[in-house]
Amino acid sequence: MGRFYLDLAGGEFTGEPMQGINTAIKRMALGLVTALPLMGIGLCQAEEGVKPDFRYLPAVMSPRVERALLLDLARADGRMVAVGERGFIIYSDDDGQSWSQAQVPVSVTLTAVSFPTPKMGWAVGHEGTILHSADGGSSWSVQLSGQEVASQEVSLAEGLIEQMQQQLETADELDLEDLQYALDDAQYALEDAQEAVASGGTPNPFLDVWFADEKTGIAVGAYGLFFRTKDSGEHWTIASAALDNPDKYHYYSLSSPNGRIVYMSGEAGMLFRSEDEGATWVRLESPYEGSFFGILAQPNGANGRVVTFGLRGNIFVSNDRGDSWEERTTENENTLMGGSLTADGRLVIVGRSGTVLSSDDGGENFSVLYRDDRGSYGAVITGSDGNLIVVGEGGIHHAGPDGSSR
Amino acid sequence: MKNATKHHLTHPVEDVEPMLENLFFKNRVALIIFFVLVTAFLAFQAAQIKPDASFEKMVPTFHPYIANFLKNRDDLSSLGNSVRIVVETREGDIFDKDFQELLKEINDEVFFIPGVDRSKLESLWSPNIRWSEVTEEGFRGGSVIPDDYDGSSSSLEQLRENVLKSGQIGRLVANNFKSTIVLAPLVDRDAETGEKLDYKKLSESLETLVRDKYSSDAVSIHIIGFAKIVGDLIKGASQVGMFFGIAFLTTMLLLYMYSRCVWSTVVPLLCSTMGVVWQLGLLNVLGFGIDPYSMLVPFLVFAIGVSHGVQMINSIRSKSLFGASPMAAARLTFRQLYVPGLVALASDGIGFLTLIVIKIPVIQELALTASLGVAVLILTNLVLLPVLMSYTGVSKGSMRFMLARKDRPSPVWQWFSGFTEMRRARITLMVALALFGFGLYFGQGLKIGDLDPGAPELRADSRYNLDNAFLTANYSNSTDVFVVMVETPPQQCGDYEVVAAIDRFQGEMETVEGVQSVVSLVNVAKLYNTAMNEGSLKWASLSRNKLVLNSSLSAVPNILINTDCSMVPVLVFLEDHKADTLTRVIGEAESFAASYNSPAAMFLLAAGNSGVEAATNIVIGTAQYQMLAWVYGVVSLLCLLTFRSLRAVLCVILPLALTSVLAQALMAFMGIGVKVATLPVIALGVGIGVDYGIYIYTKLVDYIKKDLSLTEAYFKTLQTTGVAVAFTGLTLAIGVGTWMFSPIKFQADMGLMLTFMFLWNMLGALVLLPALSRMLLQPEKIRQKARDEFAAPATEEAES
Repeated sequence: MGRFYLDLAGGEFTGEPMQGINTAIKRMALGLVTALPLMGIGLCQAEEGVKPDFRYLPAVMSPRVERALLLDLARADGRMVAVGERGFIIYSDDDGQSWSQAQVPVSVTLTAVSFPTPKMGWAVGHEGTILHSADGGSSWSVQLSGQEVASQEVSLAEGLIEQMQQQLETADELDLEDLQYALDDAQYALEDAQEAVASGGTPNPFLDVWFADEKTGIAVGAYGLFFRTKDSGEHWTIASAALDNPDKYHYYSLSSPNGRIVYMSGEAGMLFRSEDEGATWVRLESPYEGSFFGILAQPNGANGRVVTFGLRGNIFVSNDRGDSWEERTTENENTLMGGSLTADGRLVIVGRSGTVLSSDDGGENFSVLYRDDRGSYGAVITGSDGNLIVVGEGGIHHAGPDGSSR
Repeated sequence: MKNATKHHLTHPVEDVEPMLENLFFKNRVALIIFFVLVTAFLAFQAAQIKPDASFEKMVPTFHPYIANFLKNRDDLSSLGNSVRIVVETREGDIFDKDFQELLKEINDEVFFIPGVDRSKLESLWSPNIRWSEVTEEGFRGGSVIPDDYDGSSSSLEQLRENVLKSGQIGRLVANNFKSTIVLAPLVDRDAETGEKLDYKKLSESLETLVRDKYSSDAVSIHIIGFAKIVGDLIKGASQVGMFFGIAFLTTMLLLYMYSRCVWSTVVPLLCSTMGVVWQLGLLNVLGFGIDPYSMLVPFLVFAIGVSHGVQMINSIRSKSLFGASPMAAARLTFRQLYVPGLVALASDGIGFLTLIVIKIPVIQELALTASLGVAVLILTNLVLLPVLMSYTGVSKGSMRFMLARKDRPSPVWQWFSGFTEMRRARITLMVALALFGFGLYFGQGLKIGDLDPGAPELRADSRYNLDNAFLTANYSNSTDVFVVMVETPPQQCGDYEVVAAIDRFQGEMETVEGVQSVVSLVNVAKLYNTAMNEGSLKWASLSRNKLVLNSSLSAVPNILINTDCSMVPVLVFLEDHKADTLTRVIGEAESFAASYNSPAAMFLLAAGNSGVEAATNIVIGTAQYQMLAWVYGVVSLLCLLTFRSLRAVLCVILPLALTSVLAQALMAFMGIGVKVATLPVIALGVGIGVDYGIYIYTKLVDYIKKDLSLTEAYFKTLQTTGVAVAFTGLTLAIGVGTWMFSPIKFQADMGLMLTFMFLWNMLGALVLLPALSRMLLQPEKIRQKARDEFAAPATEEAES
């Protein structure tokens, strides 16, 4: 697919070389400014000379939060937790009938949420943000900020450049040209990361998060953003080198059938599989060059079905752990965003313009429904009674098993 | 104030009385020629008076909100000044061959209506409405109507799909697909001729060329927009002429029933009408126009003129009854009534003038024009009227009628005089006290501002408001918009710091109860970011990347950004325009501005119809009590100067206060808010209502001084001025009562409130005043004082 937006959104060509000392001073100054609110000294009032950083103001407590743009939904035992724009996190203890808003220390758009245990949960979002809750989603604290993401990117690039420069000395004629290109790329990446450090952190969003258990997890996002933790997020470490993604496409979705194997889908038809909780990855052969916004692994063991979907209503299923894919066509051509697949084969996929696709046989046959509000939806949860809770534009929507309004 | 008592205050005026009387009555012909000439000149002027409904006059221009708005007015002009024509199908949905055919015709028709900005016209059939989608290759899109559209079911199906992808649902296409909008932005001035937009003509064109032409059993048309409101107001205002006619005829009938004399009917009407003509003519000479608010003034002037005319006629008739010639009767009447008439008119005029403390031009103008009208009446009804009557006299039949009535004492007045008896006075005062408490209690529900949905200028069941309700029910944006202007240095309105602040502001405003949605360029930037990422919702966030942000700004429609990128309007759509809602919105916006305003981004309140209304509410909320203090202060002072007794002031003012309190309760009960239109009503009601009290109290004290008991004195008072007071109350009520039928809501509200106040003031004067006098007045002291006063000047004269 065309990378027509890269020069706009990529930032890869926008970095300005900085003078070393200047950068260091700026970094310290800006780091201080952005660190203050992180340390809990909220800049609620604009003081003389200090600009408020609206990203790190606590989320507005809004009475209409259930109708705001919500992007993802997760279960934490009997509780449901949803995240969305403006740092909104809400939870419900009565199957989505009533919702309470959680205290959140940031105001960035949150894109995904994951609860490996009833109490321990993580939410990720824009500006390289990772939030953590240890009380089932009632309160949240910042675990990783864009500033730290950018710093790790700088170190990573510096390490890479050093390594390549050593290789350059010993490389033979044939590899020289390729190596030179790779070095240029790394240098651009370094400049980007340095620029990000100087400007208050990476602007890039995390787009999904997954935890194998309450210790081990990964957070993935735009432009190849990939972080891992093995200690419940006390340390998040950049691990983008584990993946084969030279063009730095976006990672959009993670899903695991059993807590060990993980599938990941992304921009431009990217599909990956990991068999060790996300430590090492294999890039799968893709049946499609358009973006896959969602991937779902059936939660019934290692050899279950995997479904991926995305741009323009494309759906593919695999019965061999992603090695081969079959296309499923429906009348729908709206882009699909998120879904849910239960152990007994109930599959629901939601997308733009009110689209709800549902299947009782794990994605062999679909029924298509366009909801009256024609809103665009990001995620869906299937309740024990088969009814759906859909989130997206307009917040929480209650729907019947086929997506119809309830 | 007939048969004025000898007050020190009035002495100087009375001294010149014979001189004036001689001047007027010895040069009757010259005087009449003078009046005819002036009337001809002013009638010519009055005929040229222009309707003047300028927006600035109706808002408190000095208020900082309005000042901010006016400063940015040019950049905001494209906001809102458009007409929405909703075409609704009664059967099926809009994806129908015949319907689309009709829609195309309407689109073309509207295109050619003068005043419509053709390049910006939007409908399913205009080329600027497009659909788009993201595909593997990038963006794909086209006009909503398929290029090969032929009305077949397959092309209609294609149209349906394109509409779904166009993002126009809730905006140009109803949520239920049963109607669609032709949106016509308007130009302020014609590009070719440079003429200002003619709202009346535009509104008529929309009615005849669109509504009348295309409405049918299958299709109904709804038209919404500021231009249509103005058009409907102008149209409604033209009915005011008819109301004046009705008021005129009813007054004529009443006058004749009262006087049974043709001349006694014609002359007061002629003089009062002359007063109206003079007033209107003078307005034009002074460069004022007439607006929907000041249209009330001619009615008031006419009614006040007639009620003073009645006093004159009444007096002339009494004099004639005792055998005076027409000339003598007229001269005597002039001599007796000149001073009290002057005092009464002066108190009316001063009462009106207190309205000047309210710093809203339209109310200040109302104060000036009403005072001017009252001043004119001094000449037409106090001078010309007796002069004319000196020619005509009163008919024999009229005198016989009066004689007949004089012979049998009215049982009604007998009954009314009972209010001076202790027992009934106690009960009356207790009831009044209860009513006072009742009024105060329910008056607490009184709200500032407009309370009804839709265009508050028009009635809730007017066609416009029904159309508006249809739009609100079937589409996603309300018509109550509160606009906050974010000012930045030039070319910096798209900086991340600015848009991030606006984003936060929107988030905080959305928490306010009554806010429906908030829209600014931030929404566009987020949408753009989503679109640039293949439509993924997860990208609905502001990009900190300057290049992305700048290119997203190129997608911002120019109503959401000004030309040099130094001002960004934030549109806060509200569920209603109730004062409570506006107060909450202002509170939140002000506190945000106080916390985060910086030279880089100043959040300034407030524009949009709701912003203007909020500022007006603030001004009115404080002016309300100021005005009450002024009007009661001035009227009390006038009474004190006239009667030289605090007890007298209480007797006259307390009934008025009860009326004011009850009027507020009535407003709360009827759901009428305190607003530009209703604020002046209390001042007008008190200013005019005080006349009754003055007339009655003067007479009452007169009779007490003649050694009559309170009850006897009051009975006599009723017999002499009771009818005149009742008649005054009725003519005033009729004069403004016709307004209740105005299609313009605020005129109807004014009419209702004034009618209520005039009638209740009359009742208060007839019932409560005597009861209060029983409690407060000490007849013996009054008599003693009168004897002292009588003695004192006598000694003074003797000494000199």
